[in-house]
Amino acid sequence: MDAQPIPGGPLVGNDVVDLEDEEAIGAHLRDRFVQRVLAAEERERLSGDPEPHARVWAFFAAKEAAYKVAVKKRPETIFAHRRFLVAPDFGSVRFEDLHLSLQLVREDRFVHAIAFEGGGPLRSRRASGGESRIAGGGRSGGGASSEGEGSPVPRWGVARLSGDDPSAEVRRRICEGVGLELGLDPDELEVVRDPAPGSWDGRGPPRLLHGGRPLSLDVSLSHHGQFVAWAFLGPLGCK
Amino acid sequence: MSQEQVFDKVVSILKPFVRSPEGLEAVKMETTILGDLKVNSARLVDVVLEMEDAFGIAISDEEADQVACVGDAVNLVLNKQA
Repeated sequence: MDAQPIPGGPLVGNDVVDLEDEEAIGAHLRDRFVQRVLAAEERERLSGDPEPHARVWAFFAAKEAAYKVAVKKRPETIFAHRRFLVAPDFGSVRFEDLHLSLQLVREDRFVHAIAFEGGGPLRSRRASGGESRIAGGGRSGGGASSEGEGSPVPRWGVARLSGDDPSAEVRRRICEGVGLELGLDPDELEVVRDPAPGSWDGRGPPRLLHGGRPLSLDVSLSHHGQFVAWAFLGPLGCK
Repeated sequence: MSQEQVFDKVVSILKPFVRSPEGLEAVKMETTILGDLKVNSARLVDVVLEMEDAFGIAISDEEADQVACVGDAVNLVLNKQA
């Protein structure tokens, strides 16, 4: 495949939270944390939720996923959690004039949020049809058909960490996922992050190269606790 | 507080959240919190809250977003104490 990056192509962001990670446990009980992350209207929805622990992290993951899209469009974007507003049905996230579709996958052990451009509002849903297998490895899944005819739908996956290098593993996983989707040799795919002084970790968002050349899709990587997660979105080969 | 004192205190605040002990051993002003110290992004909120408590300051979302390295955190505190 001889693909070139398409300027202005749809963007995707994802975030996974290991609900059993020691750092995640009890977040819903930390009032100042909740107030810092959730807007007032979101805190109201938290009240009475039978799973407040998972709900708080679902909000957080949704906002983080949306932020990853926003900062790609506008590098100056400030990550003020409360300004990223998650719809009551967890089908979309709004930040200023940016409206993103949201897919939320909730399993007993983790929450995984995928925010993306296009596609219209989607319901949050549990994994289905072979998506999000976490025992012994990951498998890519995808969102359901959107309201927008022909709108690209992200492909995504979650896997249990098998080694001690989550960064390397999630990169390997997304190369395998994209390779499978596009009929490419994963060994010819490479995730790169350009230096970005001033960014939170000194690097910019991930890009995927095939044979050293950028692919026409956007990618997002995430890892937390025992899980790695990835998502990709683009017009080529993505249904 | 002197810069050194603030630095030491900031490092002590970060320590429980650090997942890279080797990064902590060589910590300096340029050490990035997410990259070098591998603090989980979800804990950055807690780091900000701890800093507010430890230094008796309020940190806005805009100010928090500017804190990428240890030096940013130190300078933020020093500026607020000035």
